[in-house]
Amino acid sequence: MPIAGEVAIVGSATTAFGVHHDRGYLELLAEAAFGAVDDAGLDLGRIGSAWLGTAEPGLTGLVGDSGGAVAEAIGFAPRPVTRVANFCCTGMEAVRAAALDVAAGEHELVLAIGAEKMRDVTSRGSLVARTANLTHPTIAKGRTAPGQFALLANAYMERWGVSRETLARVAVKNHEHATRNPKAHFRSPITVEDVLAAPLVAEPFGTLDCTPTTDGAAAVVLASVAWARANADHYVVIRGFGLAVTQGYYTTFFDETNDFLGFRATREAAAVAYRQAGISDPRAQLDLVECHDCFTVTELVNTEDLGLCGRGEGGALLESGATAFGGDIPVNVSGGLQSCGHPVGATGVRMIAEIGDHVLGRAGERQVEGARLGLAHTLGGPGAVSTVCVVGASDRQ
Amino acid sequence: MPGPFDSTSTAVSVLDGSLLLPASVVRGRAVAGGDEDALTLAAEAAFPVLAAADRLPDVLVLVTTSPPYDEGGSVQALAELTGLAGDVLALELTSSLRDGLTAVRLAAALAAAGGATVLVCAAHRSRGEKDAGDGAAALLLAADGGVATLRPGPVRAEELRDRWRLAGEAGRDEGDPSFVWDEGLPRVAREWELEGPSLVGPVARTAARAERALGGPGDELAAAVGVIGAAHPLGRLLLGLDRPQVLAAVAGGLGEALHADPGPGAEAVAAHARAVLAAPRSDALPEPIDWTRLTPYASGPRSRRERRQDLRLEGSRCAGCSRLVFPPPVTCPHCGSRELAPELLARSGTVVTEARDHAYPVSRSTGMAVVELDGGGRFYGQVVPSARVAIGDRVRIVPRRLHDGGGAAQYFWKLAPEAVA
Repeated sequence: MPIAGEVAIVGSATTAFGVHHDRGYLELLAEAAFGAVDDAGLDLGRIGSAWLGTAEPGLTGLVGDSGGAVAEAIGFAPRPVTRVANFCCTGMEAVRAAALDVAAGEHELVLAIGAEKMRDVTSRGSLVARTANLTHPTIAKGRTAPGQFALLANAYMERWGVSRETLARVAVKNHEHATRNPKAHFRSPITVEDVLAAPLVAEPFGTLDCTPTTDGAAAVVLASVAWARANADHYVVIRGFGLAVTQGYYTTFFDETNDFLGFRATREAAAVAYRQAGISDPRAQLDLVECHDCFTVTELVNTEDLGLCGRGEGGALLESGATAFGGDIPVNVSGGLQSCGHPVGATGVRMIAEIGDHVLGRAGERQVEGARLGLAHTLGGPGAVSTVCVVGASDRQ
Repeated sequence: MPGPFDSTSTAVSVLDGSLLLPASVVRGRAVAGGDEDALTLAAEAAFPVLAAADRLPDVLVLVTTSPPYDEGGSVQALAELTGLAGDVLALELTSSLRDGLTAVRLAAALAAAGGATVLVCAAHRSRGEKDAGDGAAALLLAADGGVATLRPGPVRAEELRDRWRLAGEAGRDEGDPSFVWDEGLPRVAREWELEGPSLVGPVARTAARAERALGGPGDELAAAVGVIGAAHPLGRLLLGLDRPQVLAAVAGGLGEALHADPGPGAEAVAAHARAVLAAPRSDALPEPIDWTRLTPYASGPRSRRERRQDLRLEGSRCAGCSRLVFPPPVTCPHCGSRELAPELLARSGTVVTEARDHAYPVSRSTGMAVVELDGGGRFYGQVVPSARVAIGDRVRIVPRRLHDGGGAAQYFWKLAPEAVA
C-alpha cells in the first residue's frame, strides 16, 4: 500500500533542543525513542523495527553511524535498525523509511528516530569547519552552508527589491514564536536591530539570521491507519510525502539554470505531497507549516516554493503577518530552526511531531486553533534535496 | 678582437612577450597575494602570449629562484596551467636571477638546432627580501619571424657569493656591499666592456650604481616595483624592446649577457609591457591568508585524475543539449546525455550572485561568487583576497594556489576584478 492516507503516526516525542553538556547522543536518542513509545501507549517489545536519522556521526566519535546506536541506547537487539542520511532531510528520511516499512507490511509498528549531538565539539571542530576540510579539495573550497545560502539572499534581495530588514523580520517572528515553545533552544524575543547588529557570518547574514548549533532528538511511532483505528488512543495520518533529489553535493551552484531565487527540490517534493494529499490551494487548505528556515531568506523562498504565495512575494507575505502565530497560514510556530536549532537528524522528526501535536490539539500555548492539516518541509545540502510531509487529522477527529 | 656580442653567435627571435605585476605595490615593491606563487605569476604572464600565438610552443622553460617545490618539479604544474602538458620538453632554471637570460640562450640553441618554439616563463615570489618585488615575464621565442632579435653574449661561472641561500635554510645571506662592488656584477660588466648596459644583480643599489657608471639607461622596473628576481632581466628586455639594448645579469658568480635589436612590431610588445608597469596599483598590502585552521582532505590520485578540471578549467560540452557544464559531469545534468566532449571554459564572465563569508575557516573573510561565463557555463569560487565584487560585475578567472593540503600545492582558479590595462 502507499504511504499517503495509509500510514499513521501513533506516538511522538521530542527532547528539549539546546546545549546538553550533561547528556550524550545515546541518552538524547533514548529519551526521544522511549518518549514516543510511551506516547503511543506501547511497550518497546511491540516495536518491530527502527530507522535512525543522524547526519553527522563524525561530530560524536562516529557513535551514530549505524543502527547499532539504537540497539545500544534502548536495548532493541536483535531487531532491524538502519541508519539513514540525506543532508538536512535526514530526519524526515528516517520517517519516510519507517513509513515505507509499515506500508510494505514488513512490520506493524515502526520507530523513526532522529538524533544529532552537535555541541560535543568546539567551533573549530564544528560542522562548518569539518565540511570546509573534508569536502572536495578544489571546487568546494570557500564554501560553507551560510555562505551558500547568502548567495541566494543577495540574489533574492537584488531581484525582488526585498530589504535586509525584511530578512531580519523572519528571525524576529520565529524568535517570538519560540517564546511559547519550552523546548526551543532560544526562547527570548529579539528585534530587527538585534538581528542587524549581530556578528557577521556570511554577508548579509549575521548570527541571528542563522540557525544555531544544537543538540536534540525526536522520535515517532508509525503504524498502518487500520492498526491505528483499531488500537491507538490518538493518531494522525500522513496525507502526502514527497522527496525530491535534484543535484549532487557540489553541482548546484555551477548549474546555469539555477536562478538563486528558490529551490526546485522543494517545488518538486511539494508537488508530489500535494497531489497525494489532494491539495490544490495550499494557503487555504493548510492550517500551519513548519518549514526549513535554516537562514532567514530560506523561509521566504520556502513559502514561495511551497505555493503559499507567488514567486517574489515571500517578503510581502511575511510583512502581512499571515505567517505569524494568529495569521491565516502560520509558519514555524515552534520557532523553526531559527529558534529551536537544527540538530540535523532530529529536525524533520521534530517538525512532523509538531504538526501532529497541533492536529491533536495538544500543542499548548502555541496551539494553532482548529488545526486539521499541516505541512513539514526540510531542505538539504545546497538545496538539492527536499522532503515535504503533509500530516492531517484522522477520520475519528 | 671580437666584441662581447660575436655576430656568429646563435640569435633567436622574439615572437611575443608579456610582463605581469601583482595588484599591490607597497613602498616601491610589487607584492603578490598570499595565494600567488612563482607558478601562478608565471602562468598569468604566459596567458596573453599563448592566447595570441598561432601555435603552441614545443619547449617550456620555468625560470625562478622561488619554485614551489625543492624536489619533484614545479614546471609540470605550469605545463598543465598553460595547456602544454603532455609530450612537451619542460625545463626549470632555478639557480639565480641570471637564469632569465640563460633561458634565452637555451631557447636560441633549441630553436637553431631543432626549429623549436620556446615559451620562457620567469617569475619571482619574494620571501620578504627588502629590495625584491613579485612579478613575472613571459617570452615566446623561435628561430625567426619575430619582432626583435636577441643575440646571447659572454657567459661567466666562478665562485662569488654575493647572495645565496643554503639548502634547507629559510633566510638568505648577502655579501658585504664593497665586496659586491669590487668582485660582483660591476667588475664582470667592466671586464666584458659592455656599452650602456642594463644591469641586473642581486644587490639592486650596487647594480644601479654600476649601470650609471657604464652609461646604462637606468632601471625603471626596479625603481617602480623592486627587482623581480629571475624575471627582472626579461622584464627590462620587454620594457625596452623597441630600442637596441645590452642586458647583463650576474649573480653568485653566474653571469650572462644579451644583445637585443628591435624589428617591426617590437613597439607594440614594449608598449604593452609599459602599460602593465604604468597601470594603477593598490598601495595597501594584500589581505593576509591564514590557512592554519584548514587541514583539507587531499588525494594524489584525485589531483591527477581531475587535473584538467583543476588546472585547465576544463568543462564538458554536452552533445545532447549543447550546454557547457563545469565541473565535467559523468552524465549531463540537463538532459541525461553521456556524450560529453571536453571544452575549456572562458576565463571571463559576469557575476550572477556573490557573498562574503566570515565562517569559512580561512582568514577573516572569503569572498565567493557565481559567474556566468562568456562562453557558456558557470563557475563558482573564491574571489581573490583584497578584491570585492558585486552582482553584475565583470570578472576574470585567474590561477591561484588554493592550499597545501596533503603537503602538496593545490592550484585552482579564483575570481579577480577585470584588468585595468
